[in-house]
Amino acid sequence: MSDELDRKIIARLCGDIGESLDPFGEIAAELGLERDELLARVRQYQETKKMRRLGAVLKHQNAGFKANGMSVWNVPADRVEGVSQVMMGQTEVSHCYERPRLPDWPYNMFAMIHGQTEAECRAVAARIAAETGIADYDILFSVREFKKTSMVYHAG
Amino acid sequence: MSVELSSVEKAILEMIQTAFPVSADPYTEIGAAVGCTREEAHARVVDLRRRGVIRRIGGSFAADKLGYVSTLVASRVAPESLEEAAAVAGSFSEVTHNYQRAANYNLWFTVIAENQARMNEILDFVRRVPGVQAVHSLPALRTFKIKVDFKFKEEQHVG
Repeated sequence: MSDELDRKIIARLCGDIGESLDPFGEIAAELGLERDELLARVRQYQETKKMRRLGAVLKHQNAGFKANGMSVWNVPADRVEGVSQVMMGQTEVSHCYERPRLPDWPYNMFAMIHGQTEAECRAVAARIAAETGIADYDILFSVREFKKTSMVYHAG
Repeated sequence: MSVELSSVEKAILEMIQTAFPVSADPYTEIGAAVGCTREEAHARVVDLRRRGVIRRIGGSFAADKLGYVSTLVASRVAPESLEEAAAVAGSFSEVTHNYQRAANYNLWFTVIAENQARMNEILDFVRRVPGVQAVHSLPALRTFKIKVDFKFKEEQHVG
């Protein structure tokens, strides 16, 4: 799937490209290849969708919202697609997934809601409930954040 | 505390949060897009880092396309054992998000592992912590959205 050099490049790009005026030239030198070869490989990761994006992570994306609520929904299988459209229509919703149920866990859809307050998150969930008619839902707020990092692939 | 952003800074952020140019001379491209020189574009980005607006410029990869497996884990832990269970889960670099939440499943964490065997190994480590009553893997059956874009309106402040 990836050769050894790809693994090194991907691990390196999971970090920061740095403050150089020529960041790709600097990273290429670090990894022992030509800049053009590095650029060609990075473009290939983008084309093959291995890389979702290369970009700036902004502070507010991670820390600007004080409340993050994991809303969980019990949605009939044939309504999952339509309900996801409503969830995705909310600017406060960042992620939306269908997941398996458990015997004591009836919820099969998860939508992460970000807001300044818990009340704001609840209002977003209430809007989704009103628009979809799905009444069986809950919001799990984080009591404590033990860990939040970005993944480093091929670290080993 | 909020940070005032100039219109050039907003234009730079809008561009590079989705697509930092993959180019031999990225700051010339950024400058060309927002109407300033290469040196000024670079100086603005460095300054936005200093002010804490930009945390990192780097890649975000698709776990599945790299051959990794990922999941969200719902676990139920006796309150007195929660910290230890969270510490054990969090000790793995493959666990990137780890939260206590108020529900009958009270510890939730994500795992991105190189393969299923490694994933199972990590879950077994957490299962063996005394006080851990249940550990269930809930892998995404379908993913509907991963959104990162953020539009900078004129009055937008970053706080």
